[in-house]
Amino acid sequence: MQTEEIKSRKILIIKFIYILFIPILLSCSKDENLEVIGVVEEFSLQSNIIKDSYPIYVYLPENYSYDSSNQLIIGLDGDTRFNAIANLISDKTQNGSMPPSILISIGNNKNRNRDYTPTSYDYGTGGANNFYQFIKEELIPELESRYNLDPSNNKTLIGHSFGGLFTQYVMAQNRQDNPFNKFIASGTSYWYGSGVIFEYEQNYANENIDLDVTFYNGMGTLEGGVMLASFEEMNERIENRSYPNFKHKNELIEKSGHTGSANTIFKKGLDYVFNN
Amino acid sequence: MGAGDESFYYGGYSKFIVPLSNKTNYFTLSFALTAYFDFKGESEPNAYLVDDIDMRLIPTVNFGYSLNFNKVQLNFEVPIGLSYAHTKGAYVNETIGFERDYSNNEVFFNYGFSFSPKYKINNSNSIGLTTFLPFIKDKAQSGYQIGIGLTKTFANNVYKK
Repeated sequence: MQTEEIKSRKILIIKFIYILFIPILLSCSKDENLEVIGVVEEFSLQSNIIKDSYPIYVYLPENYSYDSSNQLIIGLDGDTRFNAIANLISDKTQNGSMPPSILISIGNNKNRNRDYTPTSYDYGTGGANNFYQFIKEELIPELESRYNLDPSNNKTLIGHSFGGLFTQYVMAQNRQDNPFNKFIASGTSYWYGSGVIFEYEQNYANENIDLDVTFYNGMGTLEGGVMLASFEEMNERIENRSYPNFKHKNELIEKSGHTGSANTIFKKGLDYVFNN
Repeated sequence: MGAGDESFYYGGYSKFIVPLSNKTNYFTLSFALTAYFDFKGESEPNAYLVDDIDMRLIPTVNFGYSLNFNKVQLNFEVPIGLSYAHTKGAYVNETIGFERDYSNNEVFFNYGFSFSPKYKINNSNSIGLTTFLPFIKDKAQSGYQIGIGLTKTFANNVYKK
């Protein structure tokens, strides 16, 4: 009889534990929803350079100025990352940590292996130069015709993974006609082409004595050996160039993998490039 | 494998299961230890890892319920525990010309849902599948798991009755 009572109590305890953890189980993560204050728009842009069409996602934050120029922030992988970056900018705008700005995210993610990769390799076809020309010669002029943009070369580029690779590829292009001077790279695919991005960084260093940009470089601590070692190597190399006007912060995001680190890096990157 | 794809890992698990009653269908309490490894990383012929260890060690306490239908047993569990990540080694990139050590150790809270269907070969042995769906947001801390298992029953009062 006593044994039965003990068993009943055990079962009650287990049931209680189940009930206790139901809220935890229901608190699973959801996809990022768009929760912004401001105006959201979308249009399609045909590229004559690439012979392809791109959805362009636009977010005009609360502090977007209709009377004067705004900073342009361009995010990559727009089909999947626009909402996250727009949410961050909306929050930052409300707490006053962002200048008047406009966020553009370029979609057509399905062709990221073509557009974001600098060379042809097993996982990409090396269309980064064309995509860079598309941004410079087609996208930015189109945006300038639609919105009040600051015409100076002070734009911000944000990319994750292959997008980070493209971001660092653009940072290694000549400064004279480079529209960007702020770069946020997340989980950059340093492994691509056996580390081909290091060659672009070296080529830039061979031909220039300064790199007048602000660069935030982030990586999750759980990205594995190739990424962790390459991340440290790149940061050390570029820091050792001693460019006089180069502002750089690199950060490992603890307890985060390749996917999980992206939004934290975007947030910290926006904090850094707009406050340095 | 492309940029951003999570790797396949390989490993093993062991679990000690305690039924909490003698009924046909019963609650269970179990203790599990899972270890899995990434043996490959993103190594290439001229850019490769040396002495690479990239592993997760996952001890959990599982609260479960077991449904029994003749020879088929369906087990539903909520594992709660930790995930220990250990990454260590060196990366040699002959193309670019550098070699660099790396190391990272972290511990995370881990929980999720586990489903393990089993087929009873006899009163003492079952074979089956085990699956684990982690509810933590970052699956790099503890990933999806699927495996095959052999269950050895040490005390089988239900069937002796």
